[in-house]
Amino acid sequence: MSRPTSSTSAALKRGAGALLGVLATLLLASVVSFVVLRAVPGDPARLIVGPLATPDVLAGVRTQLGLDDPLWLQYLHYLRDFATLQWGYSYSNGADVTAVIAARLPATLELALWAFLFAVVGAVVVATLASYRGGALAGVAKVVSLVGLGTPQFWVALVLVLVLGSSGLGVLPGPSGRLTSFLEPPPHVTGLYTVDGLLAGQPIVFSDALAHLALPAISLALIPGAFLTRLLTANQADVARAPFVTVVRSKGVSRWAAHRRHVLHNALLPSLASAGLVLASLITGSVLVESVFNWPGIGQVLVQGVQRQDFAVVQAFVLLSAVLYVAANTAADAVVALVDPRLRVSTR
Amino acid sequence: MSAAPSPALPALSVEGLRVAYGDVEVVRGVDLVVRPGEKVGVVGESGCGKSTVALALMGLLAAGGSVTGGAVTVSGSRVDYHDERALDRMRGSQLSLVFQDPLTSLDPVKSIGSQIAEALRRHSPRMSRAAVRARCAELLTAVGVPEPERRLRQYPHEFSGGMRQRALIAVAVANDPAVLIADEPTTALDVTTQAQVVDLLDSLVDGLGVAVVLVTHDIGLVSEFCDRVLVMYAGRVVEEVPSDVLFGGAAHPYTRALLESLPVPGRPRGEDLAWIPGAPPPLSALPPGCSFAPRCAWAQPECSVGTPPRVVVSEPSVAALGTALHTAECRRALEVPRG
Repeated sequence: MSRPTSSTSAALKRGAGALLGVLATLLLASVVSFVVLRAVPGDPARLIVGPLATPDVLAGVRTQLGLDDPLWLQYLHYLRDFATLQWGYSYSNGADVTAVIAARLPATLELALWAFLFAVVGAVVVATLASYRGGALAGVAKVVSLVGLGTPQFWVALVLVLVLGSSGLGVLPGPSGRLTSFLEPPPHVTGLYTVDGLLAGQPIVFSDALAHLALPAISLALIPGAFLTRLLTANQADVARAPFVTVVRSKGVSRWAAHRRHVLHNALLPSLASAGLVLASLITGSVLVESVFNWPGIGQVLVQGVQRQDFAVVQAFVLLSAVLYVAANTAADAVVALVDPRLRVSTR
Repeated sequence: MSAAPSPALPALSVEGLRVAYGDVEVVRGVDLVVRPGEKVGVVGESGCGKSTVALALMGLLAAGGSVTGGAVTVSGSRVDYHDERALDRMRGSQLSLVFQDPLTSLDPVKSIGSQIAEALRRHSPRMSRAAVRARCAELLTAVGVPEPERRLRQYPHEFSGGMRQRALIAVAVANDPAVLIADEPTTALDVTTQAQVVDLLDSLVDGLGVAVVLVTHDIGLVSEFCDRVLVMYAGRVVEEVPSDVLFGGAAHPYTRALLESLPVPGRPRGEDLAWIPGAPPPLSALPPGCSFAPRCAWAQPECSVGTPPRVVVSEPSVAALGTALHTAECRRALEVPRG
């Protein structure tokens, strides 16, 4: 059933379709983030100059910020500036937004990536054991994951700090940033301290960074981990009932090997797309956990930006989130298309 | 394993097999003997327990089901259904299964080649990669799949229904098993493909000397393909009959009713098909005596009392060498006119 002549053009068509979808999504997100912030009452120029400034000064600042231009022109400037990484200057303190976000993004990324790792590994292990063993274990896993889904992140974060942190059992550092104060950050390569620590051959930095990460990453991982556990358990239960599992067993393959090789494999594929979205939501959704753990990520900048009606910061963050979501989603789709033979365009 | 046992030794011998799901007994004492190279059919309506027999013999009953009695012997060695490791060693090497629906019987995300290779590697872990690949190609050729090298790299969705069933048969015969259990192997296929798959099974049996248990509701298929037919009703074998006397020589009223309900080509249009009044009894509440009595046109009051006797309808002829005993579990087996 291979279509050797049309396969390349089919792949191109699919790629072009995906690209169009990505562009449309991003455009929509940019319009929304632009319009919503402009629709909010309040004048950022007034915020900058203060209540006592003369109308002349105010007008000057408005012109300087481009707030006098027609909205469509402001929007076009906004798009151009975003694409060229000129995300403007903070209305409130004049800092270069691109530099602020670039400085803080690695901390958030590192936290999100570890949380993602915890969530995925935890979900795969718990869901696989629960659906393989069944019985009481499955019941416990179900209750725990339901509770996990309904528990507020910041509450979990606080409990973890109180119980395991320096004020409790003292097993792990509490809300004290990314590294113990006497340690120097490792030489900058990726900006992720755990990775850079390993690259620089500094195991102490690696383990210290990981210890600081552990509690916030676990707090952050709880909800997506519980969600993925539910999804994977349900998928495995479905696949385990499929006739092909009986056929695999009829070859003499043990129940565990059949579960691992066939049930788990088939259950993971449809979860990959969700995992992409989970990763994006971890990167952009760590605001609360970052504030509990005093984590120097973009979450805190965002909170300040919203409080001060700092268009430049908030817009950059909103659009960056949209880009991340779309990128994670597209990447997940691409991975699924690569690993699922049913979606692969036949090239043979 | 592949060494054929002496012709006298049955490839598969089942005595008094009983299977229960929870409290409900769905197979109530089934006897079955299949010699190497012999093809035995098991027929009956849905729910009569025939597929349960197939899965029970493989030790692959769905959760909640268990073998509660009887003895199963494969190539002379007794099967212990509580020893999972021994069962795993036996499955695929001694006893294999061709399953109902080829569309759902293959893992959709693994290549055909890897799914055949899995059966080989499980029982010959030391086989080299090249040898496994060569054997897989050989098997696909043997089951009539052209271009085996290319086909091995393909996935189930690139195979048609008939081709998938061929691949599954290749999996089943990969390790030269003594017994092949085919559970409705052609039901999901269209008629022309059915005939091809049956021919393929037939030629494989002749070539390999494997014993076949064909479980199906298709009494026509069974009479063509099998040497002997076991008719099941409500969890019991009610008649065991050589297939050449099935049409015209069936003795049990249930078998006769089944045969009469078959559509016959050439019968005048508009004429109603014969049918069996009522429905099979629920296995949780079987009537006393013969389970078929409430639906039987020949039933007498005493049919509802006590287990019906096993009646020898005809002794095997000398030529048939004891393979063609004809028995029916019916008090009136010898009185009912053969049909």
